[in-house]
Amino acid sequence: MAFYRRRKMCRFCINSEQTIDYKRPETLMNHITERGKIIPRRISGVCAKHQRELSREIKRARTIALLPFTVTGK
Amino acid sequence: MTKKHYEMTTILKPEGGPDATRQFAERVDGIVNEFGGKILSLQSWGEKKLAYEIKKNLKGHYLFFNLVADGDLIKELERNFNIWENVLKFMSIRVDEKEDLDQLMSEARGIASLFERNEKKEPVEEKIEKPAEKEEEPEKQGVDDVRKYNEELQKTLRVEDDKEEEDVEL
Repeated sequence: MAFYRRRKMCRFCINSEQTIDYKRPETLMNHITERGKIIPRRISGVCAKHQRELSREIKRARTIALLPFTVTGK
Repeated sequence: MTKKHYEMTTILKPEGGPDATRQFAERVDGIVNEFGGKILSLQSWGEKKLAYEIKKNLKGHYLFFNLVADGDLIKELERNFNIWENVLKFMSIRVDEKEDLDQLMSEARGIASLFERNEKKEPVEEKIEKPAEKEEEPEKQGVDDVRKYNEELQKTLRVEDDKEEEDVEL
């Protein structure tokens, strides 16, 4: 049962040009699932600081309808 | 009350057209001036598809204000937005970055910056809509990186989903 998982690196720490901003939903879009849920950092490997920012900005983007709260089949 | 830098995004009904937008901007400007605030800049993001339906509308016209204001002014603006029928939704955010307010005020361009946009429409829209592709060569690699990153993310996502039941927290 040898499990080896590569420690994922935070993409925002590596690339400081990547800004987390509710006005740019393109970057945020990578961190929500198809259903619109925020992807946990245990999966995406984002560091705690940037995950906090992400979650704040995603929620802001949701209030002004740039991102969905939920995606249903209609 | 102390003045602070705010960002305000408003979504208007798309039907009005440019005249309604201008009228709206002027009304906001009126209130801002009355309370001693100042509009630093005003951008139109154009008509966008909304991520969800707001008051039966699937599209909205986005207007983005940068302003220096105090709490009373924001309160008054929001009170008005709730009354005006062509405003679908709005959000005001305080900008926390340390900035020199006096300098910001002196560089203020007011609502006129909305009309400047018409001349240099291209750069503004590009900047907002596809930041990843805006710059030349180095940025292209960034796009590839993003794509690769996403694929990896999706893969791990699937793996994690399978595993989740067996070993929850390692």
